[in-house]
Amino acid sequence: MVAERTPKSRREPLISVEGLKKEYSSGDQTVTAVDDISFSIDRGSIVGILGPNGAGKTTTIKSLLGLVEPDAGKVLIDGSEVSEERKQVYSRVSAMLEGARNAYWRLTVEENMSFFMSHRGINPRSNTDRRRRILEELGLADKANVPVRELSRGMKQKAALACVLAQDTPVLFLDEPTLGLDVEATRALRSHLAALAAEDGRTIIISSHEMDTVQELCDRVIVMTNGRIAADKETQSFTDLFQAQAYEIEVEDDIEQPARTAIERRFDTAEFADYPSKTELTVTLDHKREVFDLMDTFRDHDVVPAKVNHADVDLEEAYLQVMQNNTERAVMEGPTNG
Amino acid sequence: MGDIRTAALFTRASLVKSLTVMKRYHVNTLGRLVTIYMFFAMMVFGGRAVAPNLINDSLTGIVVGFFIWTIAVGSYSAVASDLSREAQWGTLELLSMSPIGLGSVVVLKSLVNMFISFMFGFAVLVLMLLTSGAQISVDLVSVVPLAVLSVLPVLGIGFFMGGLALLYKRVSSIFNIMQFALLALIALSPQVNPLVKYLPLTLGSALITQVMEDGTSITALPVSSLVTLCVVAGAYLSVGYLAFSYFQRRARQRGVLGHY
Repeated sequence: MVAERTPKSRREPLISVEGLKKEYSSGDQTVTAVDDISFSIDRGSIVGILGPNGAGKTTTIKSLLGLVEPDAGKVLIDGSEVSEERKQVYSRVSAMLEGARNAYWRLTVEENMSFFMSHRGINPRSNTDRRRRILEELGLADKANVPVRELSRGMKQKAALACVLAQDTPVLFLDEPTLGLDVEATRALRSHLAALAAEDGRTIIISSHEMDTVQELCDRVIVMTNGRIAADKETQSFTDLFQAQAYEIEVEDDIEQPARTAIERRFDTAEFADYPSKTELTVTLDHKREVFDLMDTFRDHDVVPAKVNHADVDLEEAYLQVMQNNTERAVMEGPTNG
Repeated sequence: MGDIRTAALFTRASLVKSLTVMKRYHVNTLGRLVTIYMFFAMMVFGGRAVAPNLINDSLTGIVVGFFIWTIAVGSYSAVASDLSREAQWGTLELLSMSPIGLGSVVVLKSLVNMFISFMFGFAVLVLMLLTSGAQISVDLVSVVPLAVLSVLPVLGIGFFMGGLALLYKRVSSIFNIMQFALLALIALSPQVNPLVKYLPLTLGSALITQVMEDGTSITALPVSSLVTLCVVAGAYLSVGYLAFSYFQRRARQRGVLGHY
């Protein structure tokens, strides 16, 4: 019976969110923090949740963790409903929610790790090797016996992360895991997290503003704005999508002002860069077919392109494009929050 | 079985954590002890200067009352203030993600803190006895169970206040008022008004005073008083815990569990 269930359950999404909704009320005002969102996350994947402040990321993550009770919707983690089977869920999940604040500052790094292992039901005395390994990997070995309050901001962040990793759960929620870390530590952490997913099959959900980290680490990105999901795609196809719509056009000589005004009026992402013998125009189109409109505008103003290339688009540019499209849509539709 | 193992590991970890912090910040720990003792010394030695007979006649009552108050305030503050501090530190949400549940975590932490309050209480008691000249019986077999049963209703109030702090955050002014309310509860006499024996600390305080002043054993106390003490302890603890569970649920609904 168990042997039949295991392979089947492995194919099912590890996290499943259906119709999640949360409103906060204060006096007469009600703000919709999360507005009827649904998504699922596969085992062993690393998913990035992106969005500006107030987009609903934190409420979504805390709802997934059962720390916020949603008004509607269902969250399942490994088949257990979070609001009803918290104990089962918490035996599989650990989280770093407030970075450096997620540790006891009067305890040393290793004491913190032992405490959080115990709270998870792991005997710290029989797991000293694991603690040492994590400390080594995060570059904290020489700080193991230093109280957290005496560490730098980045080191405190690492200490909090070490506590999460010591709990050895199959699912990890990390809010801004690389915030305050130096380049070297960020790189080490990225490779550590990538190995956790690839080799140990752990599922990692990251909320971050650091696009480089998300782009390098995450298999998939979910972009949230105004409590809704604005985009949910594999990271590569997300950037590819915008790559196909972003152009760099080189024009020999200058582009006259009437032509510039017409292009800017028609394409609000247009940016000009002037050089002594050429002008470069970078523009991201909403749809591929708009390239014909762009060429028509060129023809109307007698501008002859010398070179047309696809521009390189990184996650940050793709993300900003989604945000911009979403803002325009929101303006057209009017306010959604009561 | 897994829950029991986790609970045992968590209890040990909480105790080790508290003792580690007390040892590492020993000046702070000593300062706390001295502050409590100074409060007693000002009352007794200051009082002796003004009304020596009054203080000397009621010295054993003052010592016993102060001992119970030290334990009760320590246990109460440890629950109520501890939750606020954990929220402030950003660790409350992590603790609430324990597989044994936030309710069990808070109960176990409270028991550990109560144990430490007892250690403080006995340390203060020794200081009081050494410096005031009071003569009392310290029969631990009788005193400890009575003190535990007396303080459990206070833990119940601590759960209630701690739950309130999860929802409304800055309720420290009520915490402070409660410390003086506990003093009043200890001073009330069930012999004068039998109804006050249903209030927290009151009956327990009277029984402990009897045991420590007269050297009476717990087995010689009236069974009805011990039953009442147990019922009062169970009732306040249960109501306090239920209120804490309710406030915890409301905090999750309002999304303010980890806020401060």
